[in-house]
Amino acid sequence: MKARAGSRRPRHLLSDAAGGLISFIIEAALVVVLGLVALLIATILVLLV
Amino acid sequence: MLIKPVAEDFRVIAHSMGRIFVVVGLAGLVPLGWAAAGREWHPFSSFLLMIGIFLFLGVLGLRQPGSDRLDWSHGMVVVALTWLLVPIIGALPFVLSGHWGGEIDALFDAVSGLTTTGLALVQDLDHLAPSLNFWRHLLHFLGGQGIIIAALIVFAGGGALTLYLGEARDERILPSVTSTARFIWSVSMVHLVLGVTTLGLVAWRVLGFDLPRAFFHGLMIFFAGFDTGGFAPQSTSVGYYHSAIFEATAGVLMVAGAMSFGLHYALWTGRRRAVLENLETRTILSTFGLTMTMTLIGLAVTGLYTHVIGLTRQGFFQVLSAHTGTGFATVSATELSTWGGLAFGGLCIAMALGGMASSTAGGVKALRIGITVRAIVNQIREVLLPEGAVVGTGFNQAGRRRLTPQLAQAAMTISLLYVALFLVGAGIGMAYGIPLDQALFESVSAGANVGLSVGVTQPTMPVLLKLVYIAEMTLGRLEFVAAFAFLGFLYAAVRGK
Repeated sequence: MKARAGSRRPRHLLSDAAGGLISFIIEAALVVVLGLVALLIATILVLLV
Repeated sequence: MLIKPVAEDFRVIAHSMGRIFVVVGLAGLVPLGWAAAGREWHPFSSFLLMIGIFLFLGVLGLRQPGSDRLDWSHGMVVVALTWLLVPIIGALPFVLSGHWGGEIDALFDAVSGLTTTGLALVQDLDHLAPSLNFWRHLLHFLGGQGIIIAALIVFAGGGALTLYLGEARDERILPSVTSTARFIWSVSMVHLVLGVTTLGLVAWRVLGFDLPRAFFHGLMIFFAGFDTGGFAPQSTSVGYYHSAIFEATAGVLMVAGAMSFGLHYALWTGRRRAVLENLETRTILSTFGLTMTMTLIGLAVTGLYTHVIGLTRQGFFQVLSAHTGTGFATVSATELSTWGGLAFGGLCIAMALGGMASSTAGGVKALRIGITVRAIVNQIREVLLPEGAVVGTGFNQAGRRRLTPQLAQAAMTISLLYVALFLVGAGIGMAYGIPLDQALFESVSAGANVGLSVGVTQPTMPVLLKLVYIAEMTLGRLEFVAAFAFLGFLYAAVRGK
């Protein structure tokens, strides 16, 4: 049992790190998309005003 | 009839307080080590004093009988007392440093740090000892993650659920509170590594900072960004860096901080569809789009920023900072005070709405807005549809849930309490002669734990207003329940039978 528990720990840490990395990339992509939307709105506004 | 608390109740509360004090005392060892490494002996001695008090009180509390008898009211009192006493003791290094105008100013910044607000009364910040600057930002981290959550990890024990819920967390991601608390800290640790590395590399390679300074700034901005705090190591906030890449990286951390830990869990476990279907995700994206458009229109009309890039960068970053409850600014308080009309309105609404429930952000929260809007829409449907027609009451939030009248009522009550809090703070500001728009802005910023300022918050402001903002920051962070329960406990102690 001890050996199994010991061998599971690194896999758990690795999956945590992978999940976190994917989450971070998605958050970065969201900021980029929102920024591009802001740029689009600002462009339209500068042309209109 | 209120039942008067007995000695047993106080002992149970003291035991739980002891656990928390020990954990905060241990956290104080980090800035102590930082001060020793930097040979900052004056801050070192003040940290030593602070840690000594925390550990002394902690051990004193732990000597009381165990916490397995901790019930709901005890838990709420523990949470309220924690958020009352930890900033008082945590402000000691600030008081002794001479960078704060007095005890009230130091307490203001300690409360602002712990509640992840970011309003600051520190003087000559640019020459503050790095260890003290580190402590300011570590307070953001402790408060944002939850002091109680930290204590739950170290001392898993009786009453964990009550303590967890009392600290304005209403989502159990994993079956046990302790495993949920551990997951919250795992998310933070992974973001710490990724965030500090990215910010540090940008500061080092793009901004030309030397390596230790780059990573010091990276760490400080991580603490303040991920915990949606808003303190910055320099007095000019994020504007100090003059870098769009740095601002964007800080923006990623702000978004991560404003996301509920439930959504983090869904992302980590690959359930991206659940994220998109979530009521809170849809609400916050809608309100963000709305407030950003309002702000950009306002700024375009006033002609403050005539270039597309300038308009986008200033408008987008400030709204992102306001809506996530962070409080970083790339414009000065003086410049922000000139954002009149729609831009001012957009920013104020974004601050008041805040981030997601069970995140590190403040404000009314997207979940309550979503539930309130859904309840109103259902009411209108019931009126318009033929009698007997069935109106759907389901919504997605960590699985399919039913919108009951009790849930809608609870969401609306807390939302109204937030509005009342903002108005009371604004009213007191106006009584001191501050114009309505500025008084409202600053009050919303304090009550929603944001930290953006139009210049009202400064060392020379009236003492009563400082105390009002301290109360607003605490009530806003605890979402009222624990504070009201504490007042009820005090009343019962005096008038109960």
